[in-house]
Amino acid sequence: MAIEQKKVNPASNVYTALLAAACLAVFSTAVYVTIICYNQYETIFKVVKP
Amino acid sequence: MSSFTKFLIVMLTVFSIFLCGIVVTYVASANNWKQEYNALDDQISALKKNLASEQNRLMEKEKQLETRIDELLAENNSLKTELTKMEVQVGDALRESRINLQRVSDSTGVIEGLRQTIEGMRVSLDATRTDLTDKTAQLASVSKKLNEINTELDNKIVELDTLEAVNKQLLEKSSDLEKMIGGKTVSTGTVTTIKDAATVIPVEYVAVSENIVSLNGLVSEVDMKNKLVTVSVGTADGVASGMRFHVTRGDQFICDIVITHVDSDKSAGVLELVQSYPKVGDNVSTSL
Repeated sequence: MAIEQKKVNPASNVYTALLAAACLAVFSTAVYVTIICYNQYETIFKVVKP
Repeated sequence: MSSFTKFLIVMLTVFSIFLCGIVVTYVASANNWKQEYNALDDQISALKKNLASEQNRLMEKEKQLETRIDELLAENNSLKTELTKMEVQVGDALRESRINLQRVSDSTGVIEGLRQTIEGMRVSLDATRTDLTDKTAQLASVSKKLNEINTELDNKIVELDTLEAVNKQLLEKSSDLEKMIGGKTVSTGTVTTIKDAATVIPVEYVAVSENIVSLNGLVSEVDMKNKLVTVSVGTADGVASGMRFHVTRGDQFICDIVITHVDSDKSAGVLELVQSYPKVGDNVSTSL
Protein backbone atom coordinates (compact mmCIF):
# COMPACT_ATOMS: atom_id res chain seq x y z
CA MET A 1 0.00 0.00 0.00
CA ALA A 2 1.47 3.09 -1.03
CA ILE A 3 1.56 5.97 1.35
CA GLU A 4 0.36 9.04 -0.18
CA GLN A 5 2.72 11.81 0.24
CA LYS A 6 0.86 14.97 1.02
CA LYS A 7 2.45 18.34 1.29
CA VAL A 8 1.45 20.01 4.56
CA ASN A 9 0.85 23.63 4.24
CA PRO A 10 0.64 25.68 7.45
CA ALA A 11 -2.59 27.26 8.24
CA SER A 12 -0.97 30.61 8.71
CA ASN A 13 2.67 31.79 8.52
CA VAL A 14 2.04 34.28 11.32
CA TYR A 15 1.69 31.63 13.92
CA THR A 16 4.71 29.90 12.56
CA ALA A 17 6.62 33.15 12.95
CA LEU A 18 5.34 33.53 16.49
CA LEU A 19 6.49 30.01 17.36
CA ALA A 20 9.83 30.72 15.78
CA ALA A 21 10.14 33.93 17.74
CA ALA A 22 9.27 32.15 20.94
CA CYS A 23 11.75 29.40 20.28
CA LEU A 24 14.44 31.95 19.41
CA ALA A 25 13.76 33.90 22.56
CA VAL A 26 13.93 30.78 24.72
CA PHE A 27 17.10 29.58 22.97
CA SER A 28 18.77 32.97 23.24
CA THR A 29 17.92 33.17 26.90
CA ALA A 30 19.24 29.68 27.54
CA VAL A 31 22.50 30.49 25.72
CA TYR A 32 22.86 33.77 27.57
CA VAL A 33 22.20 32.19 30.96
CA THR A 34 24.61 29.37 30.15
CA ILE A 35 27.37 31.77 29.20
CA ILE A 36 26.83 33.88 32.24
CA CYS A 37 26.80 30.88 34.56
CA TYR A 38 29.90 29.42 33.03
CA ASN A 39 31.74 32.67 33.15
CA GLN A 40 30.85 33.38 36.73
CA TYR A 41 30.87 29.93 38.30
CA GLU A 42 32.76 27.86 35.73
CA THR A 43 30.02 25.29 35.76
CA ILE A 44 26.55 25.04 34.42
CA PHE A 45 24.59 22.36 36.25
CA LYS A 46 26.42 22.15 39.58
CA VAL A 47 25.99 24.39 42.62
CA VAL A 48 29.32 25.76 43.62
CA LYS A 49 30.32 25.10 47.27
CA PRO A 50 32.96 26.98 49.06
CA MET B 1 -5.96 24.85 13.13
CA SER B 2 -8.36 25.55 15.80
CA SER B 3 -8.74 28.85 17.47
CA PHE B 4 -7.62 27.38 20.79
CA THR B 5 -4.37 26.27 19.19
CA LYS B 6 -3.83 29.71 17.85
CA PHE B 7 -4.58 31.16 21.24
CA LEU B 8 -2.07 28.80 22.84
CA ILE B 9 0.60 29.74 20.27
CA VAL B 10 0.10 33.39 20.96
CA MET B 11 0.12 32.89 24.75
CA LEU B 12 3.22 30.65 24.49
CA THR B 13 5.02 33.29 22.53
CA VAL B 14 4.03 36.09 24.87
CA PHE B 15 4.92 34.24 28.04
CA SER B 16 8.12 32.92 26.47
CA ILE B 17 9.23 36.42 25.67
CA PHE B 18 8.14 37.69 29.05
CA LEU B 19 9.92 34.86 30.86
CA CYS B 20 13.03 35.29 28.79
CA GLY B 21 13.01 38.99 29.53
CA ILE B 22 12.66 38.40 33.25
CA VAL B 23 15.43 35.78 33.22
CA VAL B 24 17.79 37.94 31.23
CA THR B 25 17.07 40.90 33.45
CA TYR B 26 17.64 38.86 36.60
CA VAL B 27 20.80 37.22 35.36
CA ALA B 28 22.16 40.47 34.08
CA SER B 29 21.49 42.24 37.32
CA ALA B 30 22.55 39.37 39.61
CA ASN B 31 25.77 39.67 41.63
CA ASN B 32 28.80 37.60 40.89
CA TRP B 33 28.65 35.69 44.14
CA LYS B 34 31.79 33.72 43.47
CA GLN B 35 33.79 36.84 42.89
CA GLU B 36 32.38 38.39 46.01
CA TYR B 37 33.04 35.18 47.89
CA ASN B 38 36.63 35.16 46.72
CA ALA B 39 37.02 38.81 47.65
CA LEU B 40 35.57 38.17 51.08
CA ASP B 41 37.72 35.10 51.43
CA ASP B 42 40.76 37.13 50.57
CA GLN B 43 39.73 39.74 53.09
CA ILE B 44 39.20 37.05 55.72
CA SER B 45 42.60 35.59 54.95
CA ALA B 46 44.19 38.98 55.21
CA LEU B 47 42.35 39.63 58.44
CA LYS B 48 43.45 36.25 59.78
CA LYS B 49 47.03 37.09 58.84
CA ASN B 50 46.72 40.47 60.52
CA LEU B 51 45.19 38.79 63.53
CA ALA B 52 48.05 36.33 63.70
CA SER B 53 50.63 39.07 63.34
CA GLU B 54 48.83 41.16 65.95
CA GLN B 55 48.74 38.15 68.24
CA ASN B 56 52.46 37.65 67.68
CA ARG B 57 53.10 41.30 68.38
CA LEU B 58 50.91 41.04 71.44
CA MET B 59 52.89 38.03 72.61
CA GLU B 60 56.13 39.87 72.02
CA LYS B 61 54.77 42.87 73.86
CA GLU B 62 53.73 40.62 76.72
CA LYS B 63 57.18 39.07 76.79
CA GLN B 64 58.78 42.51 76.73
CA LEU B 65 56.46 43.65 79.48
CA GLU B 66 57.27 40.59 81.56
CA THR B 67 60.98 41.19 81.00
CA ARG B 68 60.56 44.85 81.89
CA ILE B 69 58.57 43.92 84.98
CA ASP B 70 61.33 41.50 86.02
CA GLU B 71 63.95 44.21 85.45
CA LEU B 72 61.91 46.72 87.41
CA LEU B 73 61.47 44.24 90.24
CA ALA B 74 65.22 43.57 90.27
CA GLU B 75 65.89 47.31 90.18
CA ASN B 76 63.36 47.81 92.94
CA ASN B 77 65.13 45.22 95.06
CA SER B 78 68.53 46.79 94.39
CA LEU B 79 67.10 50.22 95.22
CA LYS B 80 65.69 48.85 98.45
CA THR B 81 69.11 47.43 99.28
CA GLU B 82 70.78 50.74 98.47
CA LEU B 83 68.14 52.55 100.52
CA THR B 84 68.94 50.33 103.48
CA LYS B 85 72.65 51.00 103.04
CA MET B 86 72.00 54.72 102.71
CA GLU B 87 69.92 54.67 105.88
CA VAL B 88 72.79 52.97 107.69
CA GLN B 89 75.24 55.52 106.28
CA VAL B 90 72.95 58.38 107.28
CA GLY B 91 72.79 56.95 110.79
CA ASP B 92 76.58 56.71 110.91
CA ALA B 93 76.92 60.24 109.54
CA LEU B 94 74.49 61.57 112.15
CA ARG B 95 76.45 59.81 114.88
CA GLU B 96 79.73 61.21 113.58
CA SER B 97 78.24 64.69 113.31
CA ARG B 98 77.11 64.48 116.93
CA ILE B 99 80.61 63.38 117.97
CA ASN B 100 82.16 66.17 115.91
CA LEU B 101 79.73 68.67 117.43
CA GLN B 102 80.76 67.51 120.89
CA ARG B 103 84.43 67.85 119.89
CA VAL B 104 83.79 71.34 118.56
CA SER B 105 82.14 72.37 121.82
CA ASP B 106 85.05 70.87 123.79
CA SER B 107 87.52 72.61 121.50
CA THR B 108 85.64 75.86 122.01
CA GLY B 109 86.11 75.53 125.76
CA VAL B 110 89.78 74.72 125.34
CA ILE B 111 90.21 77.65 122.95
CA GLU B 112 88.47 79.93 125.42
CA GLY B 113 90.84 78.76 128.15
CA LEU B 114 93.82 79.27 125.86
CA ARG B 115 92.53 82.71 124.96
CA GLN B 116 92.29 83.64 128.63
CA THR B 117 95.78 82.24 129.21
CA ILE B 118 97.12 84.22 126.25
CA GLU B 119 95.38 87.33 127.56
CA GLY B 120 97.01 86.81 130.96
CA MET B 121 100.38 86.23 129.28
CA ARG B 122 99.84 89.37 127.25
CA VAL B 123 99.12 91.37 130.39
CA SER B 124 102.19 89.83 132.01
CA LEU B 125 104.21 90.66 128.89
CA ASP B 126 103.02 94.25 129.02
CA ALA B 127 103.95 94.45 132.67
CA THR B 128 107.32 92.89 131.89
CA ARG B 129 107.84 95.38 129.05
CA THR B 130 106.96 98.24 131.36
CA ASP B 131 109.32 96.85 133.97
CA LEU B 132 112.00 96.41 131.30
CA THR B 133 111.50 100.00 130.18
CA ASP B 134 111.86 101.16 133.76
CA LYS B 135 114.93 99.00 134.21
CA THR B 136 116.37 100.32 130.97
CA ALA B 137 115.78 103.87 132.13
CA GLN B 138 117.36 103.03 135.47
CA LEU B 139 120.29 101.41 133.68
CA ALA B 140 120.70 104.47 131.53
CA SER B 141 120.68 106.73 134.57
CA VAL B 142 123.08 104.41 136.41
CA SER B 143 125.34 104.29 133.37
CA LYS B 144 125.26 108.05 133.20
CA LYS B 145 126.02 108.26 136.88
CA LEU B 146 128.80 105.67 136.44
CA ASN B 147 130.31 107.70 133.66
CA GLU B 148 130.18 110.79 135.81
CA ILE B 149 131.75 108.87 138.68
CA ASN B 150 134.41 107.45 136.39
CA THR B 151 135.17 110.91 135.13
CA GLU B 152 135.27 112.22 138.67
CA LEU B 153 137.35 109.21 139.69
CA ASP B 154 139.81 109.88 136.90
CA ASN B 155 139.99 113.50 138.01
CA LYS B 156 140.47 112.41 141.61
CA ILE B 157 143.12 109.89 140.58
CA VAL B 158 144.94 112.56 138.64
CA GLU B 159 144.53 114.89 141.60
CA LEU B 160 145.71 112.10 143.91
CA ASP B 161 148.75 111.47 141.75
CA THR B 162 149.46 115.17 141.81
CA LEU B 163 148.98 115.26 145.56
CA GLU B 164 151.15 112.18 146.00
CA ALA B 165 153.84 113.83 143.90
CA VAL B 166 153.48 116.98 145.96
CA ASN B 167 153.44 114.89 149.12
CA LYS B 168 156.52 113.11 147.97
CA GLN B 169 158.24 116.38 147.22
CA LEU B 170 157.16 117.73 150.56
CA LEU B 171 158.35 114.60 152.31
CA GLU B 172 161.66 114.93 150.55
CA LYS B 173 161.78 118.58 151.49
CA SER B 174 160.76 117.64 155.01
CA SER B 175 163.47 115.03 155.26
CA ASP B 176 165.91 117.53 153.86
CA LEU B 177 164.76 120.10 156.36
CA GLU B 178 164.95 117.54 159.17
CA LYS B 179 168.41 116.72 158.13
CA MET B 180 169.24 120.39 157.93
CA ILE B 181 167.58 121.38 161.17
CA GLY B 182 168.62 118.27 163.00
CA GLY B 183 165.67 116.80 164.83
CA LYS B 184 163.27 119.75 164.86
CA THR B 185 159.68 119.17 163.84
CA VAL B 186 157.88 121.15 161.16
CA SER B 187 154.34 122.17 160.76
CA THR B 188 152.20 119.56 158.98
CA GLY B 189 149.13 121.65 158.22
CA THR B 190 149.51 121.32 154.51
CA VAL B 191 150.22 117.60 154.69
CA THR B 192 147.22 116.96 156.89
CA THR B 193 145.10 118.76 154.45
CA ILE B 194 146.43 116.59 151.66
CA LYS B 195 145.87 113.39 153.66
CA ASP B 196 142.30 114.43 154.44
CA ALA B 197 141.69 115.01 150.82
CA ALA B 198 143.23 111.63 150.00
CA THR B 199 141.10 109.74 152.49
CA VAL B 200 137.84 111.29 151.30
CA ILE B 201 138.19 109.92 147.80
CA PRO B 202 138.21 106.15 148.59
CA VAL B 203 135.14 106.51 150.82
CA GLU B 204 133.12 107.95 147.96
CA TYR B 205 134.53 105.40 145.57
CA VAL B 206 133.53 102.50 147.83
CA ALA B 207 130.06 103.91 148.33
CA VAL B 208 129.56 104.29 144.61
CA SER B 209 131.15 100.96 143.76
CA GLU B 210 128.82 99.13 146.15
CA ASN B 211 125.87 100.60 144.35
CA ILE B 212 127.13 100.20 140.81
CA VAL B 213 129.48 97.22 140.46
CA SER B 214 127.60 93.96 140.18
CA LEU B 215 128.72 90.59 141.48
CA ASN B 216 128.38 87.57 139.21
CA GLY B 217 128.53 83.86 140.00
CA LEU B 218 126.95 80.47 139.50
CA VAL B 219 124.50 78.32 141.41
CA SER B 220 126.67 75.58 142.97
CA GLU B 221 124.14 73.65 145.08
CA VAL B 222 120.36 73.47 145.29
CA ASP B 223 118.47 72.14 148.32
CA MET B 224 114.82 72.15 147.29
CA LYS B 225 113.73 70.51 150.52
CA ASN B 226 114.75 73.55 152.56
CA LYS B 227 114.60 75.96 149.61
CA LEU B 228 118.26 76.87 150.10
CA VAL B 229 120.63 77.67 147.26
CA THR B 230 124.40 77.97 147.42
CA VAL B 231 126.24 80.35 145.10
CA SER B 232 129.90 80.37 144.11
CA VAL B 233 130.80 83.85 145.47
CA GLY B 234 131.54 84.76 149.09
CA THR B 235 132.99 87.46 151.29
CA ALA B 236 136.19 87.41 149.26
CA ASP B 237 134.16 88.67 146.34
CA GLY B 238 132.29 91.28 148.40
CA VAL B 239 129.16 89.32 149.26
CA ALA B 240 127.41 90.34 152.47
CA SER B 241 124.45 88.91 154.35
CA GLY B 242 121.15 90.32 153.13
CA MET B 243 122.34 90.89 149.58
CA ARG B 244 119.89 89.95 146.82
CA PHE B 245 121.06 87.91 143.84
CA HIS B 246 119.00 87.42 140.67
CA VAL B 247 119.09 83.93 139.17
CA THR B 248 118.85 83.76 135.35
CA ARG B 249 119.13 81.02 132.74
CA GLY B 250 119.91 82.56 129.40
CA ASP B 251 117.37 85.37 129.01
CA GLN B 252 114.90 83.76 131.41
CA PHE B 253 114.46 85.07 134.94
CA ILE B 254 114.33 82.19 137.43
CA CYS B 255 114.13 83.61 140.98
CA ASP B 256 115.84 85.82 143.56
CA ILE B 257 118.19 84.65 146.31
CA VAL B 258 118.50 86.61 149.56
CA ILE B 259 121.86 85.74 151.16
CA THR B 260 121.58 84.49 154.72
CA HIS B 261 124.93 82.71 155.26
CA VAL B 262 128.27 83.91 153.95
CA ASP B 263 131.63 82.09 153.71
CA SER B 264 134.86 83.26 152.20
CA ASP B 265 134.36 81.57 148.82
CA LYS B 266 130.63 80.75 148.81
CA SER B 267 127.39 81.87 150.29
CA ALA B 268 123.87 80.52 150.77
CA GLY B 269 120.46 82.09 150.76
CA VAL B 270 116.70 81.48 150.52
CA LEU B 271 114.51 81.72 147.41
CA GLU B 272 112.14 84.56 146.67
CA LEU B 273 109.98 85.54 143.63
CA VAL B 274 110.23 81.97 142.34
CA GLN B 275 109.18 81.74 138.64
CA SER B 276 110.79 78.31 138.26
CA TYR B 277 113.22 76.32 140.32
CA PRO B 278 116.95 76.98 139.84
CA LYS B 279 119.46 74.38 138.69
CA VAL B 280 123.16 73.94 139.30
CA GLY B 281 125.01 76.11 136.78
CA ASP B 282 122.42 78.91 136.54
CA ASN B 283 123.85 82.44 136.55
CA VAL B 284 123.49 84.65 139.63
CA SER B 285 124.04 88.38 139.63
CA THR B 286 123.24 91.31 141.84
CA SER B 287 121.89 93.22 138.85
CA LEU B 288 119.83 92.14 135.86
